[in-house]
Amino acid sequence: MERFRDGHAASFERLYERHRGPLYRYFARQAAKDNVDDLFQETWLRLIRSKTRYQPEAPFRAYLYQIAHSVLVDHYRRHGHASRPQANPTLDPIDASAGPEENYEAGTLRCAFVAALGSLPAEQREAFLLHEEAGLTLEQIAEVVGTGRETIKSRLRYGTRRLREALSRDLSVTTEDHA
Amino acid sequence: MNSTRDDQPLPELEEVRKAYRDAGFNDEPPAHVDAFIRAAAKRESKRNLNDYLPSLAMAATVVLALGLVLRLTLPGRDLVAPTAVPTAQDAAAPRLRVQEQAAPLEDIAAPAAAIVPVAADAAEQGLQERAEQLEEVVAPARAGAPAAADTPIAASAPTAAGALEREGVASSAIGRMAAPASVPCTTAERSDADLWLACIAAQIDAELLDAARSELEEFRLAFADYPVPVNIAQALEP
Repeated sequence: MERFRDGHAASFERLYERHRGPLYRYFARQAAKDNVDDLFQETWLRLIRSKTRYQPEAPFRAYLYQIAHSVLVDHYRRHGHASRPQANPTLDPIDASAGPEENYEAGTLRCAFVAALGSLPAEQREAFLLHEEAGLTLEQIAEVVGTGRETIKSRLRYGTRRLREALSRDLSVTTEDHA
Repeated sequence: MNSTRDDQPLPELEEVRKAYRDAGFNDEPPAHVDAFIRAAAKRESKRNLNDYLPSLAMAATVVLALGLVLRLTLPGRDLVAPTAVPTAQDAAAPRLRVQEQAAPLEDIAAPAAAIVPVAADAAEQGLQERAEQLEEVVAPARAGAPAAADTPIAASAPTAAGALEREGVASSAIGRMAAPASVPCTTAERSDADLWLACIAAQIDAELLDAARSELEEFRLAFADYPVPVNIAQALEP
């Protein structure tokens, strides 16, 4: 990031390649599909414009998701929390190396996860995604969302518990239906 | 994804996290979004470079201005570049310019000089009337010579006079026409043998014989091998 700040375009390319997928999924799990591209794009544009404000002491990943969190909060303010992701596994890319049955199972699991994540409170959902997709530590998540470490730990605990319950219910139902 | 991290808050819910990884979420931004963001980053990088240019230009201007001020104010320095050793061609250039500038004067002086000996002969023969007529022709040329002394080519007049003198023209008439007598001769005149001799001739004509003798002595010291015209030598004989 420091090199990009000094005018090296190639440094941005490396950063972008590393973080584009996780960041896109961070938004895809929290906003309607129609808005994901805009949110993703807005985050990177803000990062590009604010490159001079980047402090090398902070990890780039945390800095990026701090901007992303801010973009998401702005989005919720405009559109409300009703803007939820829809479960649509047919739109997700299919793993060509896997067989049809594996793809079906993965698609079913993705569909169940999207539905389960959509049912979580926004704070718990974001904490889970920052932990799983962004790979942030509890301290970094706390810094990104502007709260304490224990609060984040609590959100993660409740969030994952509810996810587990939702997944066991949905997957068991799906499996039964499939059988 | 982060199962090995020390801050694992919920080891009992590892099952959920494993399920998330197994789901294989791999959705990525569409290509046109990628292209847009990359283009924005490139633009920003270029803009970043352009942002520095005004600062660099300002710094260069300040440095140049300071350098100029210091050069002007520090003692013992001037803005004239060190001159190269003059070549023979460079040394000859002023003389060539003088000769070029003398050409128009020679055009004026030649007809007048051709008439002067005739006037002298007529006077000697007692043909006063004829001489007066010729004198009327010469008069404008005489009047033109002092006026021309104010022009840059005035210094070249003695050269023309010297050339005419070597051709046998009477130095008295030429001297009066070409340049007024100056006492002593100027540095510019002394830098050139012909100019210096013309100055001496003018002093003779102005009957400044002591000054002319003094100049001739100095001339002989400076240009020992240069031939002194007979009329000057004769006029200044003790």
